[in-house]
Amino acid sequence: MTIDDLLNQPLASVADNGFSTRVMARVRAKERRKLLAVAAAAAVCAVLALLFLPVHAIGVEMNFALIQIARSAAASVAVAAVILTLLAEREFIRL
Amino acid sequence: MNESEWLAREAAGGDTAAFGVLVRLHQSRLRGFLLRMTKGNHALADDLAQETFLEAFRKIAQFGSGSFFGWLSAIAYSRYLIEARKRKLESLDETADIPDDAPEPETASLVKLDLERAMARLAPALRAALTLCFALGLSHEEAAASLNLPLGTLKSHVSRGREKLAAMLNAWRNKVVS
Repeated sequence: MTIDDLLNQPLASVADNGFSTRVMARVRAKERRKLLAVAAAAAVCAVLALLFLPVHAIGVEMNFALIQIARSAAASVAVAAVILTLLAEREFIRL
Repeated sequence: MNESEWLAREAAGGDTAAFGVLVRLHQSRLRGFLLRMTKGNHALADDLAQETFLEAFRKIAQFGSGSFFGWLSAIAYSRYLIEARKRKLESLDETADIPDDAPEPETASLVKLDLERAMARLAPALRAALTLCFALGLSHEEAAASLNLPLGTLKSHVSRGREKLAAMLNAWRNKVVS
């Protein structure tokens, strides 16, 4: 047997014996921790926004804007166009 | 695109199950490689393999195309080097002298065991180059990328490693015969 024959022999197979499961458990735990960190950061941002933003004033402004939009003819035409498009699409799919 | 590349792309898109398949596909070869690098230390090889897969998951979006195993072994080798420096496992100097202590005569006839013992006496860079290019079948280019070496250096590691191994094995055989 030459040195190249010896070297070319594949490495002995290593049985999994739960190795992959352990790795994936650590991967999932890491993912969960990442999600929790993002959720915690979002919650902190929401609390800060509630504390420091003029929520009441924004609500009043939003109310006013929505009423204006509802009264506008252009917005009514746009809503009608969207509804008609959706209905036509449904009809087209049914055919 | 081969299966591993496709799975890596899925994993980069957030599919952890695809990454699980990659782990199952490559764990044996990666652990075998690390087992040889750590000279048969199963616990350390498995720790390094776990850390390698976790780092691979973190950086999966950085994998473009080519040999997924080559990319994995690059992470594994750099983790091994860090650990070897930290634990002072062995001299990382590739020009270090080889000790001339031969294995016990009764086991010296076991050729495979001889190879592992001779491998353990080589410098890590030579051991890694020979293992990746021969036992694991990577091309010279892939192995050079994995070990972060210029292609010429990798080729010289392979040739020097082969010569040293042959010399060691011959010396042991002669000792057993005499």
